[in-house]
Amino acid sequence: MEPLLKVIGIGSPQGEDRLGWEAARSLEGLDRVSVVCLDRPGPSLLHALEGETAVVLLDAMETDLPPGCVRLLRAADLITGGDGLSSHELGVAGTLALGRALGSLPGRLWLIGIQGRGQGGLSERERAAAFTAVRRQVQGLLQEQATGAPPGAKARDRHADPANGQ
Amino acid sequence: MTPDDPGRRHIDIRVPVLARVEGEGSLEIRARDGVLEQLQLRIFEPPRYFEKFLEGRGWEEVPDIVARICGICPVAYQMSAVQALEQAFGVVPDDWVNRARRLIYCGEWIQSHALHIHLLALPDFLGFDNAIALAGTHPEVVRRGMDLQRLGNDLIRLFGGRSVHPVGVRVGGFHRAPDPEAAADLQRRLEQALPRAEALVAFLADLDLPRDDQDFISVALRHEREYPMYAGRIVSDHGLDIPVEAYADHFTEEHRPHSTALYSRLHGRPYLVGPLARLNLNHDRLPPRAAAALAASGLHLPSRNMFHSLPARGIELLQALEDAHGLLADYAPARQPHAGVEPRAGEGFGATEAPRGLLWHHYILDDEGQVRLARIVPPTAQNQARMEEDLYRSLEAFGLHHDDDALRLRGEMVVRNYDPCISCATHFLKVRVHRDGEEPR
Repeated sequence: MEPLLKVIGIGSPQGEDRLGWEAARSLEGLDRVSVVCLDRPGPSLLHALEGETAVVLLDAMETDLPPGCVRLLRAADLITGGDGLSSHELGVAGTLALGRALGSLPGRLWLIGIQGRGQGGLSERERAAAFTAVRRQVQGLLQEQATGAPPGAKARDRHADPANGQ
Repeated sequence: MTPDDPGRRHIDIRVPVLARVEGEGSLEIRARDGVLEQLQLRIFEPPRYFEKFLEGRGWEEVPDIVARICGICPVAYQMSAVQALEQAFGVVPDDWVNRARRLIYCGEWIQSHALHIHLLALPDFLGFDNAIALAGTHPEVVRRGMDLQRLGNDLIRLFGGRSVHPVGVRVGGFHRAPDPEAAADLQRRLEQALPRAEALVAFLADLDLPRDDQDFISVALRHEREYPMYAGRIVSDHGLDIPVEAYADHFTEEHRPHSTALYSRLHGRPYLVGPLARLNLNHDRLPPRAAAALAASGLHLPSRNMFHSLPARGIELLQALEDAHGLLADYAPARQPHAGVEPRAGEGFGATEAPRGLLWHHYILDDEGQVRLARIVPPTAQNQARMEEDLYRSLEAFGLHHDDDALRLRGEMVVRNYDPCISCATHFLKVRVHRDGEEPR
């Protein structure tokens, strides 16, 4: 059966920046989900989104949330006007803004951010809890896809995953 | 000019040094009484560290390590490195390897030039803050850039396994040869892209670019037949014509207090590397379609206007597409995509043309093939003295009566002509200005 959801892990080999990759790989084998990992894709992220209808981006994030916390965001929550952005090494938000301007974003697009710890990295327990939370979020989105629920029905607002005590 | 003349105001534009591995830039501009007193461009260049990292590493590791120097032009670092190591080991790759290397290099030029032209440079010349704003009004322009960039990335991936920090390159050749079906598919896409690249050259030729002729030395590789990319002698428009091995006899590097990057000079003078220098010296080596597009563009060469780097980049993109299309036409996978390598003690030199200019490598290896000494001279360091010289002349020609924002924008445009990595950094310039009697703000 065709995948209903494409998961893209974004990151690099360095430290906590690997979290997006590792979380994505933890989803491999999930029914009707395809998984790819990209190394700091910059604007090439748009190529990976092209022709897709439902995509989840997984990336490490830096917020004031506790380490290991997981957040599900709609892509629209991330997109800014691009003020002050480098036009060269675009980050995820800038790239999505570019994609929106070009009209090339998938109809259903979410980002799941994972809060890292910085120095020392997440503990095994924090990491396992975070990846469990990611899996739960993705399964929820998959369910939405299967039942034809409106895009991002469960991600209308920024929220932390309850599994992380937030 | 009166004391109240804005052209005589005191100007201090200071930018804090930023540290990132892609090539950070900062700029300080100081003018008094209408005269530029000081202008310093500071750059952090990562290859300095990589040279030390390479010491003690085995020869097999070198292509993968140097690929990490730059996320934009990893192929260039790999190509210069493998050339140098092969020279040290007495390895001579066959024609299949040389053609495949030129193909993967074409991919890098296509993606790098497409990115620079559409996402970096064009917003300046079309009056937009950035590529996102440009895409809102001219989505077809940005889409063309993205499509061409993708094509270049796919060509890198075909031979390198992946487009960023490719892993397919090894000393002696490649780890594997691409499937003929994949090569044929890419060749069809290259053919479809050629008219779009020709349209791009015409589009760039129609832009109203600033006119600012300057005197500078162009330096590039020159090959017997090809437009220079993967091989050639080092030449200049001031009579230099040397083999790659003689680079250090003519070019010097020096430390400057305000920058961690080294300043390169040719016989004591700043010089230019990159698209405009290459085209100035090698326009007679362009393949037919690129030569026709150049002729139709009205660009007269050699050009002394640094802003012609933009159309030069467009012509080089077309050249790379045309070249890759031709090279893939009769592609067949090699049974053995690499030459055999027996390490031995020795010394080797390599020089290729990265998208932003000449990239020179020198290695000394022991009898096990471990690196004892590595020296890498990237194009950014070679252009740094020229960039400062250009900034002086350009800002004076532009006029110091302009306000700080206008001066900063012009300075950024000048820097962006040279190098995508530095261009990236200049987008983040945070300018603090203070005039006489005022605190910095």
